[in-house]
Amino acid sequence: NTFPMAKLTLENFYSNLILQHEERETRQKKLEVAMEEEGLADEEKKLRRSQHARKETEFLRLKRTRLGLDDFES
Amino acid sequence: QSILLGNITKPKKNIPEGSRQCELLKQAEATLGSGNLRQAVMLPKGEDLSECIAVNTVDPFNQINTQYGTVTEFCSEASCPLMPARPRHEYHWADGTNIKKPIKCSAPKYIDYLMTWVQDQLDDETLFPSKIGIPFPKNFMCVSKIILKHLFLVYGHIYQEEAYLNTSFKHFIFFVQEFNLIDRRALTPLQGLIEKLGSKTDKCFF
Repeated sequence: NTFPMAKLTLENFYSNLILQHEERETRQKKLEVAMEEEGLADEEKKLRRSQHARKETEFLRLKRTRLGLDDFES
Repeated sequence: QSILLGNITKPKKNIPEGSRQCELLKQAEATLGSGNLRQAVMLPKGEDLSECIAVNTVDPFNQINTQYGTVTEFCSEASCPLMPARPRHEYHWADGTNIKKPIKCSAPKYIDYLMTWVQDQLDDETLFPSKIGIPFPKNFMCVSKIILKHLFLVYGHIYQEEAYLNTSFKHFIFFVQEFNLIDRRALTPLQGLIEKLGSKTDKCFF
């Protein structure tokens, strides 16, 4: 209990990390199910998968970069 | 006692089985279980490897940054006059650009230099692009490996004092193991701890 803030930060970080990991897997499964239901062709599936992956990558990048001065209008 | 820390920091306390502290640690271990963490570091389907490495390099940096402040009471100029390394080795700081000739300095000073250097790399848009669509440079893997090796040194110096840091360290180790980012040889000073963290049976992992 000597370092409550540090502990809290880490606890939050790790519960988020695990949650985000699970959510990501759920999104992937949902995509597969949706594509199956729509009866898409293999080529079409490939395209949708890569579009989905690009969105996930963009999300990772946004998550990584912190807010800077440029993010605000003066 | 740790090889890396020598007799500079306090010896590790034994946590008796059944004590309140041990129960709390078990609880922490349950929520932050190895299984989940091992999976969390794996490259997701279709994900860009560099993007995955980048986010996993920035996270431990931020964690060390916020937590190093809490350990300064036992890592000071007086308690750690030199950055300890393997027996008969010590780390001297040089970054190759601002400081070319390695300088002898205390552990807090060394860590300060190191973290500032890492911060500069992370802030460098050509190395860690923040704009959507801008690719990582060709030498990205090389640079991130160097950064991770540096961060490992800091973990090595501060891990044992704060229970929750172990989770952070564990996450870090799982990640570098998953992608083979730090040389096995470089990890040897903390090999014992790393093996302990990795074993599933060891509930009270420190």
